[in-house]
Amino acid sequence: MSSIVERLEPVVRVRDLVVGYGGCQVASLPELDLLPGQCIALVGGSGSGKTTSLLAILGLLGRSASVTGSIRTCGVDVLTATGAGLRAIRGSRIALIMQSPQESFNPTTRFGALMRRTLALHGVRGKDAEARIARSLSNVQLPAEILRRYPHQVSGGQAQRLAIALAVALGAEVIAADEPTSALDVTVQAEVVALLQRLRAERGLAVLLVSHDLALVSTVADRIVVMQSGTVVDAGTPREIVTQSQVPYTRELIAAVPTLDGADE
Amino acid sequence: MSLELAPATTRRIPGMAGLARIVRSDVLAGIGLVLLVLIVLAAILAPWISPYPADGTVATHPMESLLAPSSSHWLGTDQVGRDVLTRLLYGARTSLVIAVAVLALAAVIGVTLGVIAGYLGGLVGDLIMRVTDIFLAFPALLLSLALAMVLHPSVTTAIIAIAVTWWPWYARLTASVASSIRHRGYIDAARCLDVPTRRVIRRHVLPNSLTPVLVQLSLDAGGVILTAASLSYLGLGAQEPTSEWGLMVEQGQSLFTTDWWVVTFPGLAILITAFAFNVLGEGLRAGLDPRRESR
Amino acid sequence: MVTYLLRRIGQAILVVVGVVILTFLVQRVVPGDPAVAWAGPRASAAELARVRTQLGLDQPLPVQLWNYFVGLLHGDLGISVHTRQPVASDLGQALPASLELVGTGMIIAVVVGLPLGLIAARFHRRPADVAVRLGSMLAVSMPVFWLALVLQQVFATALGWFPVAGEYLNSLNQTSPLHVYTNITLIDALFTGNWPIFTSTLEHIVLPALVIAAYPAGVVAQMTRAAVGDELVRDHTRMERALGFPERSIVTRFALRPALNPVVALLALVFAYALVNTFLVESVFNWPGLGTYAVDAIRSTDTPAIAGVTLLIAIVYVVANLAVDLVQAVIDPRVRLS
Repeated sequence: MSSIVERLEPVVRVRDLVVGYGGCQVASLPELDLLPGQCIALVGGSGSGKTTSLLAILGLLGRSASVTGSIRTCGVDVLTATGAGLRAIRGSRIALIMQSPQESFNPTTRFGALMRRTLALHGVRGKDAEARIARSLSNVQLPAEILRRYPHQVSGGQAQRLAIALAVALGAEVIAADEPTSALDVTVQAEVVALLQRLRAERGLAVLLVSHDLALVSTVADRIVVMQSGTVVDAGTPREIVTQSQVPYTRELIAAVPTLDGADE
Repeated sequence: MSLELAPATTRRIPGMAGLARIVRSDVLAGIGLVLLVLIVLAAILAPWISPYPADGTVATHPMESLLAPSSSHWLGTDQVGRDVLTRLLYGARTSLVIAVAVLALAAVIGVTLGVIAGYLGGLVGDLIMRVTDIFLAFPALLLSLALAMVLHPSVTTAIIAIAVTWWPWYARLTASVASSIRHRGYIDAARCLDVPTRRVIRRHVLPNSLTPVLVQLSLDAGGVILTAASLSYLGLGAQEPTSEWGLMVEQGQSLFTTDWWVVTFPGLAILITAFAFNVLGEGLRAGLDPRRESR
Repeated sequence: MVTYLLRRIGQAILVVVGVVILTFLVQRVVPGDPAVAWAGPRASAAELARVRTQLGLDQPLPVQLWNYFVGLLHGDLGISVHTRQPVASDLGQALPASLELVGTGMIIAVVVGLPLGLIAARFHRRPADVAVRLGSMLAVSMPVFWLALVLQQVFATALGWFPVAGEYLNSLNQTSPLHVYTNITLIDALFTGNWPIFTSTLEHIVLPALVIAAYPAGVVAQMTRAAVGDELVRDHTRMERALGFPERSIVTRFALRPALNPVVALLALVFAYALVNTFLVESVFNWPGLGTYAVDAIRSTDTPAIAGVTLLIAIVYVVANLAVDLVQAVIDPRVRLS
């Protein structure tokens, strides 16, 4: 009985989140519950507040941001936690992947060095670390020799898969993804999305996805939250959003999706 | 049909409002601005606010030499009895005149050569850039020093000597702006329409170079002041009886132990003036280069 | 990597050639007769003619330039007017002492400036940052000759904590003579275990090195602050934070390395600047280096000597820039590709 209850405990729980910069409100997210294995997507154009909300959930907003409400990520109260408390969940429980994969990595650090250092930071060293790294690389289908490379020496898709491998090696339960495919070629996009889906199925990863691409999102998300100019304007399952939503902005986003046969969905 | 091109978007140069914004957000820049205003005012009003105006130029009072600071001479007197405060104020004139003259000369020469090199390019352009490289191989004071020594030292010589070492930065700056503009699409369109080069330069190259050049000028002013003072300290700049801070330090250095005021105050004046220019220049550069304010 | 090297060296050689031409031209720009400067104002016409031939002044300009080049390649920089020695040997004697001084100053500058820049970047816009900015601005605006006089007056003459002038106590030359290898006293004394001279030199070098270090320290602090500050707003820093690294680690291990690029590039410029600043510092402390030589040369309008010093420093600068570019290629893997 209790294990069922535990499994239903949200890994990310947000209530009444409001983020402001210098007196201006930038994002407002009244409610969000991300369950284990679930995928929730925040969708909207630029300035919608979706990335800000994501960063707030990780506690990664700068000192000049004022954040109110309640955010509980992987069991930690983000707004009241100490630095050490936040660092305990970052990487090892919730991982971040970002829009420009090659920019996400330190240009003077080889991938292998970064992976080892990060694992060591979270207490995994030596043979244990090497094993985890090898397993995670094969999981994302990257060759072992990528460990000797620098970020500018690999393609965007490879770098993004390496970011995911890092999350897997650390044993993260949640992946927070900020526009993970926007900067990638269309075919590579599909590969990365497929990878995320497989990891969700195999390991029960939860995914918090931020994207402007409604089409992409409706194929992977269990739940979609539409944001515009910093506020939530619509929410529901992909089917509800695409077929039943009456919210004007949502309809605009749907209409903007290009289709091959010319007919609108 | 008009053959005019729409003027290129130029970076906005901050007017008073912009300046106020930069200063308010940056404490140091604000201090620099205030100091600079005071120094410029002091320089302009020197003949009227100095206690002993004649001491700023040719007067000497051997009977009153080396008096310690007192109520009649707030900063004391020098070896020939001249009021140090007065000579400081007149020295401000000298320094500011040198700075303005050097920067104007360097900017004019540099921008002209830079535009030619960057926009017209070709063999001449390459040659100009090589010459720029050669001049840049000499650290600032060095070439001015050699030149000033070889052409009998005076304020004018110092101005020419320093300007000769400073122009390369402006040439390089303008050349890169000019060359990036040359490669833009709408310039090719202009060429097809036979818009004269002169007009393209006037309406596009020059306005776009203006902001970086202005920023560079504000950053260089402090360095020019220090170089001029150093030249005078070495005897290669202003000569007696001109009031110049570097010269005053040189004249007083052997007396430092007994008559500290002759060296201390001119040196402080150099420090404060260079500091004001530098801090303001830094503030302008940071302010015009909008970056992350929140981290 | 090799093509990059060759290209850079080629550029450097071209610049050096240009530097030589320019230095030569500066010497010939003298108003009046260089022969008079050499022989003195009371020389007879016959003496002047002899000096003119001796100095090659009766040849056409291009021939003079060519002779100058040829002379340089043989290490001939002319004869100094004030020492009456070959300029090249004068420079050879004076340079090591200045390298010693500037080297010490640069080490102090980096040791002080780099950490301060890191602190300022880490605590952006907070009191520590403002303090570092203020301090580095003052350091950069400092009239070097005045700082030398003030430090000497306060810490040597008045307080007696340090010696007033000289490189080391001259009497030590009798009691504990130094075996000369590199001509750089600190190094020679260290390697031969000559502690009296070593400690005496250390004592004497403190004040002038601090004066020389001021400007570079300020510049290093500012540049480190700016470069590290730039890195701290990049995506990779956000990723490093998201991976759980503490801020201190991020600043010193992850942000510093890419930021070192512009800082190292600066060191060549700053080194040359410091070398020229010796002109303003050495004579105050009677330090037997290029600076004292140059100041004496200026006082006696010794054109060949000044030309020699100018040429030397410019070439040192070009070489320093080259060295820095190579170091950058090693530190930053991105540079190797360009």
